[in-house]
Amino acid sequence: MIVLFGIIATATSALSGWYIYTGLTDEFKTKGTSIARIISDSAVGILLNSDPATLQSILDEYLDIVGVSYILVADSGGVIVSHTFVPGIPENIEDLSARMSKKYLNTDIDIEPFTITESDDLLNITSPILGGVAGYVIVGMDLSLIKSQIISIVLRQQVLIFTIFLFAIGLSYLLINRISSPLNRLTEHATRLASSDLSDFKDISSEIEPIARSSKDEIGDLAQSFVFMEGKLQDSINQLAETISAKERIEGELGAARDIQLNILPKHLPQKREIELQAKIEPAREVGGDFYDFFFINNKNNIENVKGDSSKLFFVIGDVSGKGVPAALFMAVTKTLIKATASMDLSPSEVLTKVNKELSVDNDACMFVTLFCGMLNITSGELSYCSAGHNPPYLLTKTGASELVQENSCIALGILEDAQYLTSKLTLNKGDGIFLYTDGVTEAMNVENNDYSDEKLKQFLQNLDSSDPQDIINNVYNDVVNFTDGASQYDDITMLAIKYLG
Amino acid sequence: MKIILKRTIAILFVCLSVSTLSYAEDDNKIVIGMSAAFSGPSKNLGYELYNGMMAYFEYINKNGGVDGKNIEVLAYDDGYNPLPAINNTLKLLDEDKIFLLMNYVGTPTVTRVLPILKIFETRDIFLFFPFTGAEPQRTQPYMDYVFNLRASYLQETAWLVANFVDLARPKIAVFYQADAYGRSGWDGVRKALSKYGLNIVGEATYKRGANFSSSYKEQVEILRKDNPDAIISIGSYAACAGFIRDARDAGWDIPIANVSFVGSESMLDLLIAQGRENSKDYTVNLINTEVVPDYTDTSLPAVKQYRELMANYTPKLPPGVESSGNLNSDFVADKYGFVSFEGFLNAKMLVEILKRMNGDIKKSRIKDAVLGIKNYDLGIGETVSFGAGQNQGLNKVYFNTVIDGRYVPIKDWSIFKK
Repeated sequence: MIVLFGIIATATSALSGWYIYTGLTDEFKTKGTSIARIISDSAVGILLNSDPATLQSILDEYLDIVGVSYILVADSGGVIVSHTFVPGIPENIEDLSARMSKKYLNTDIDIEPFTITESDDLLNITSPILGGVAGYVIVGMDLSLIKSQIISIVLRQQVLIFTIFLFAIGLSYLLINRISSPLNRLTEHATRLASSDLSDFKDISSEIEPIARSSKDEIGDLAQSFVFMEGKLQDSINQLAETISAKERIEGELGAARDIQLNILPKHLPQKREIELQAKIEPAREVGGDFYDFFFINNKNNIENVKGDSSKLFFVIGDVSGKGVPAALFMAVTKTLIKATASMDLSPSEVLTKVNKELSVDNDACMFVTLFCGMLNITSGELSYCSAGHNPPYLLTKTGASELVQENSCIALGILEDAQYLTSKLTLNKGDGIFLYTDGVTEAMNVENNDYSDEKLKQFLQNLDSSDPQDIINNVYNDVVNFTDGASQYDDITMLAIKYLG
Repeated sequence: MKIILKRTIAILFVCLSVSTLSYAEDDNKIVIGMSAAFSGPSKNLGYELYNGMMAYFEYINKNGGVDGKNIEVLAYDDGYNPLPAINNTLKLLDEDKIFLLMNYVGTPTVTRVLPILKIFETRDIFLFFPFTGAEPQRTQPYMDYVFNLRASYLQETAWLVANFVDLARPKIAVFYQADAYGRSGWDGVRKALSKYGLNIVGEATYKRGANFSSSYKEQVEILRKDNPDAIISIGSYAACAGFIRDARDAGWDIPIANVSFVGSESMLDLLIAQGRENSKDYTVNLINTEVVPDYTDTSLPAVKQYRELMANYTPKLPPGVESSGNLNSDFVADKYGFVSFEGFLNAKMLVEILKRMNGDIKKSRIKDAVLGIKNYDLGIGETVSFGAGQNQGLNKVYFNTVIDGRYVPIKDWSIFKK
């Protein structure tokens, strides 16, 4: 671009230089001609009076005019009677003088190029005095002055043009810089924003706030948008932080609730030679609605958890509808009610009937619980049991696994206040076992959304080698976990296994 | 163009205002206007001329003036340049309303002032005794407005030519200032030679205002080519001394003559100083023409009076003119010289003219008073006469040469014989 500009500038200068040259040359001709004519007109009388001093003072006056290099006046004999040469008359001027005196006998102005030294560029303008009979005047105009003037004009023009050019470039640079500098700062800012942990917006935003304030253009708008966006982002992050802290608080509380919930489940297994009992609960969330319980009831209707001489083992497994805190609370209530009611030495059906009443009253949340409870006389093997809409447990005998027959299928607790529950009975042989579970086992889903299913559970129980409750629960749990193959646990998984040893 | 316009306006203004001049004549003093070089390479001329004049005027004023009127001089510096001289003249005529003009210095200045005098023809403005021997103020159309006391360059050069021809030195070259003064001297030499059927054999010029320190070797070369027998210089003391220095340095011992305007003492001053520096005598083979007699010749009454008055007089610059550079050390030391002697004689002559108006001193009576001077003895052994067609009072030319660093009248020309 600079080269192109240079060509344009040079061409322009050359053109104007040419115009100035022709114009000034013409002007020099006109000027020289006028001077020559004026002097030749006024010199007549002076020459005739033979007064070279006055003539000289006239010549000197014209010598000050720009472009006039020399002036000479010669008489009719070609003798130079007045001139302005310093330090002497050039030889070729003397020759010219002699030539002119022969040439002239008319009134025409004669203009011819002339040189005194090689470097000269002169114009000799000769005007005859009285048609040449009284002599003539030669005015030497110095054209080299025009050239030097043009060179100086063109140079100054070039300097001016390039100064303007450089100034314009400088100005553009400043302008672009003014535009790009905030842009660069915005870009840097965006990069920093992206890589920052967004913990302190004030520090980051303060970088671009001046741009947003001072720039009234699109960049200012962009910066303003940044500031606005960051403000919003900051609000969101603050909200998020609040939410997270609330969640953490709730999680903390839920953790505590889980501990509490797990704590209300029996911690110690029964220490009786007649039975072996094992239980496992794996809530899907921090707190769940599944529960199990077992305790002994002695003759004085006192509950004994593990020891003593009690012969009646009361056990229960339940599953509260819904999940989370409401289910957990409902479960706690149910378990407490069951334990409290069972201690009255009632049959399972009577227990459930009473508990159902309690639960159904003012059950605004319409929660319910499926439940299976049983009472095993560990000396006789007699088992009375009652199910409130719960998955039927499996009876494990030497011949295999079979569902416990529920003579009367009853509704889940908490739905109908006046529902009636009936007790079923059977007698366990030595070596027989019962396996109780919640639907978290059979409805456990793998990633293809397939249930573990009742059939699969029954099949698995039938093929089991061991009859030890601990082995049964562990094997079933492992099989369920293998089946789900990493899919997230959907429901609480609870299992209770009892083996009657007699 | 601007200057011409300005000048035209000024002239018109002066024309309009001059009508009041006759009424501005002061009853108690006679104011004289002077424009001369008090600066530049010819400043010594103005300085010495002014002080020679003032020595006499102060003497007259101390003794009651002329018919009870004191003579005052308003002097302005023109630096020996025409335009300032014109401006000074217009100011003197218009603002200062001087009685007459006197002791202008230089040909290029005076020749340009002459047309102003012609314009004021009807106002009786006269220029007295300009320090130049040029022809324009001695011939028409300006001779009626100027009174000269000194001999002309034509006379100075004619006598020089005559003497050189007598000395068998007919081939004469001219070194001159490229202006009206130089041309005037050149013309004098040319005309004098033409009487013998001779021509100037060579010429070289220099630009007015050139300094002593400038080189004049080119001019020496140009003139030497033509192999002249003698050189007549028409220039200022600075340039002429420089030319002599370069000619002598080139081993050229040809006689070199200078005319009265050169300012002989100032020129000698420079040559002696240069000689001292180079351990060389630059004062040999010099001839200076003067238009006043030897100012050491106390046998002349005017010289005696001049020396008496100068002895009690302190040279000074005119009021309002500021000093520029060193002035002629000889003059400053001794207070005597050809130029100041001429100033003194000019003043003495003017006072005589004023006296001849017999108490009725008016511009309109000046001309008659001058023309009435016939064979007046100024005290220099030569009488002064003016008359119709004769506006130059003295005609004698004096020749001096330098011996032992002093100008002495030439008694024996044979020392310059070829």
